[in-house]
Amino acid sequence: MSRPEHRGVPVETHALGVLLLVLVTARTGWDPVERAVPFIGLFDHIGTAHQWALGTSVVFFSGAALALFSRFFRFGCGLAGVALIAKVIASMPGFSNGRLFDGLMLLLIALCVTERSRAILRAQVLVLYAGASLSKALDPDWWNGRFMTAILEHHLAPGPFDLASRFAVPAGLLSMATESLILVALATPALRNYGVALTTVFHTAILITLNEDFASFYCAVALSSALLFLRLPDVRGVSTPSRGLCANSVFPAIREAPWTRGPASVDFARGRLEGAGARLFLTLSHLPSLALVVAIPALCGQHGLFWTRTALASLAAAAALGSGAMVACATRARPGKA
Amino acid sequence: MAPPRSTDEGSVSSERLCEGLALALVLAQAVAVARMPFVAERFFCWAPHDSRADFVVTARHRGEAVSPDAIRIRYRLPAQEWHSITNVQSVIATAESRMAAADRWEVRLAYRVNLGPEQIWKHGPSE
Repeated sequence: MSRPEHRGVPVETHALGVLLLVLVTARTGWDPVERAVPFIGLFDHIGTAHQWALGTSVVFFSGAALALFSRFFRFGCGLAGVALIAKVIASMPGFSNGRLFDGLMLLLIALCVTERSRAILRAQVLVLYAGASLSKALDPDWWNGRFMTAILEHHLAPGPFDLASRFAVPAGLLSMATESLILVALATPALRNYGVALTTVFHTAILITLNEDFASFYCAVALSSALLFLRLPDVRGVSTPSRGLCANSVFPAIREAPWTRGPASVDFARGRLEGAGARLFLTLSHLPSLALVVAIPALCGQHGLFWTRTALASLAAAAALGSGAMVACATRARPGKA
Repeated sequence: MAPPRSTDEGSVSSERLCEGLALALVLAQAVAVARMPFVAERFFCWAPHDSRADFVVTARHRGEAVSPDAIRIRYRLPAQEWHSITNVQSVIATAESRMAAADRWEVRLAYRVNLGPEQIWKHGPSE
């Protein structure tokens, strides 16, 4: 069965590109990254530092505009991704894992259009978790609790965490174990949904507990995980419109619940992605995610009350998962092509 | 003479080229991750926020102290860094290596990693 596409791009990839572009534009696209001690010395000779910052920003926004508002989606993503990577390469002291991840994902989205090549996009997420897990495992400070003690002492968000500093060693071990589990679960097809759930919970917990502005990076990782790895049961056999959204739930208890037999609000089983209606559905399904993805990192920055942060970060997680679920539902609903 | 290639063939080879580039990008990162145990730097190997370093950079040039502003302009370093302290050392070493010999500074980096004991790293003409 061929997978649904939107303008020649698989819908999951298209959704990820759109959400990442909006996220980066809203959060870090405007950052005038100063060129300083570039990784490649040649970069020092391309215009002045001000011209460089302006030029890379113009290229990024041009790419984002092309991807979002024209039919040159892939080209636009590639342009925006290259601009972000150039910003990273042009500044050793300003090296940002978040910006690098955004740039690489956008560039890979431009390069990977076939069903086979989507495995490369997934591999990008796996490499990230492999690096993060190995780095922690190699650092004795993660095993003896020194890193966690430093973090909890300086970066804990205001809230009911007074006891947390007493649990630096178990907290460090738990973080290492969780990242390793995420890697294994995402890499194992049968465990991918658990991997996505674990990713979302893990990053949401970090957003809530640490008074640091990691929100953009973690939202991007959570979104990528949800859109690239979340898989729902094959619903091609569900053709009656009397069962709707809930029939596609990953949770059997919801799938089989009596109230799922009522009238369906959305009939995925008859959905077709080629039509204007399907495109409208896909667009509408992203709106809550788009709004939350833009708003929540801004609110979850270096301020905010504990419960506000908790509520907003949980909404961000729900938005990421919801977007992944919507797209996964839509891509499964092609009874006519089975 | 070889027959002209069809549009489909061109499209397939173009897709393969794109896939090859994408694969190379991911493999390069995998190599960076694999070499992590053998190097101190933590650039491009996905080790985000795994260490917290507090540091102070001071420098001297021809026997005179360099102002904090001049240090900030040359290195663009914050006083606190979330990444490995070896990344900070790399920034200083790289910046100095690109200077003319007469403009190089004698740099002293005092740092604490994860609230550990203070350590000193020196770089520059007297080394």
